[in-house]
Amino acid sequence: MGNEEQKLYNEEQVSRLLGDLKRAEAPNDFDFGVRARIAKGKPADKSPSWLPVTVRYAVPLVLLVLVGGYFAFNAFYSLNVTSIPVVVADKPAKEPPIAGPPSTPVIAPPPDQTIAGHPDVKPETSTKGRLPAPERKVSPKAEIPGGGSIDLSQHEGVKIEVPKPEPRSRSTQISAKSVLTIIGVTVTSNEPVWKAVSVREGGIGDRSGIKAGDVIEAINDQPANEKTGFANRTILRTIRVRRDGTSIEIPISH
Amino acid sequence: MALDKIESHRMEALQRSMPDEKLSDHALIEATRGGDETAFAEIVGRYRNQITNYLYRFLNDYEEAVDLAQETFVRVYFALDRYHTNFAFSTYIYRIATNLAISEIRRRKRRRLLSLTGLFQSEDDSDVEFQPTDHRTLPDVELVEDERNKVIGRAIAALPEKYRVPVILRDIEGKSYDEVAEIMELGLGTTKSRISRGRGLLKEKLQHYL
Repeated sequence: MGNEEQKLYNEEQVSRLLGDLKRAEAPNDFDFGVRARIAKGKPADKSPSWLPVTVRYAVPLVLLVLVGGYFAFNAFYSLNVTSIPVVVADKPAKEPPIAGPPSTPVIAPPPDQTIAGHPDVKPETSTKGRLPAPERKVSPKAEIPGGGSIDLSQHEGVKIEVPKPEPRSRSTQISAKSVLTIIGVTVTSNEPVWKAVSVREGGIGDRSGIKAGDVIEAINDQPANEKTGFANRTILRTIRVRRDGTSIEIPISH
Repeated sequence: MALDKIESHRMEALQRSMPDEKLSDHALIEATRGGDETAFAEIVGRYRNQITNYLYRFLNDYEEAVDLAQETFVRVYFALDRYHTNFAFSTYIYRIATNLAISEIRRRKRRRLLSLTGLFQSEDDSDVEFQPTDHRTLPDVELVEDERNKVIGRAIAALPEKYRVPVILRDIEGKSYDEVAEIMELGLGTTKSRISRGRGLLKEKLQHYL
């Protein structure tokens, strides 16, 4: 049997198989169903209604716009925030202190001092040209009664504004050198060991007992180096210095 | 005597009310256009089983087949004015049924895409088998026959549309090649080629039954 004949034979077999299939018949109420549908009017249109069209096109479009808008807003917002310089500014002395014990020390860095590690930081006495920072509410827990410690961010008379580099970043860090600068201690730069070059007279460092020539070893038990950073609301308690070959733990007072 | 007359009158009235069996489809369509509802009922009676069986084999779903068969007649009814007698009514009605069935298949595919449950549903579960109620005890032979029908039904339903339609029309509905070509609006050569190809595909799947 040739290929063509075999093919025809196979087709014939399939044809017979299909022809022998049991036939489905319409149910008894078929005519009634047809009449009922005709009585209803026009044939049922099973084509997709307006809803699937909406689902197919409008909803993805809206989602796209929302997602795109979200990212665009974020990009624009972060651009604005990162363009703001880090500022350490004195507030007017007249401003009433935030609720807390009267012994709360005041951090007042020299107005003409640039914070190390932030080359673009400039003292600024005016808020012109930057976004208004939201007012911070100080919880009583942030204040340590009895003195000897400093809330770096909420202290009386000092407003430390460190814009967040990223909008969602919650861990704004202040470098150890910036902390020392705030309390009036200037240390040698570009050296592995930080030695106090000068201590501003009347500053917190001076009042606590830090002297020029002291080697700053640790701040709040954190090693004093470039890598160390402190959270914005860290309370400054102690500074360990090496003086004449002896380590001294100096409690920060006012 | 009186009873005979009554019976005679009743038969005459019945004959008048029922369309002549010899009336052609075209004549029945004309009568329907003229407002004769019984003529349309005759058309439904002539084609309902054919269309139901055709759609059942196409969809492998009896309930859906009946629904679409009814829909086919409704469409025919509302499109009577647009119907031309250039070609056979059977060609016309099969074409409508085919278009409805193809639309249904595509709708099913869309539903399957959209449905989360469709992701986990196997192909075999998606179709409802036609299982007429039968309270008799089925002998083994009938069980085997029933299973064979199911397998063949699934094999047909799994064919691509372009092969499924002509194979069903030709081998199950017994249409001539010319009629199949007219229904599908294809050339005769293409129609024959598709039927041949469709049978070849079925042979591979139904080797066990050949």
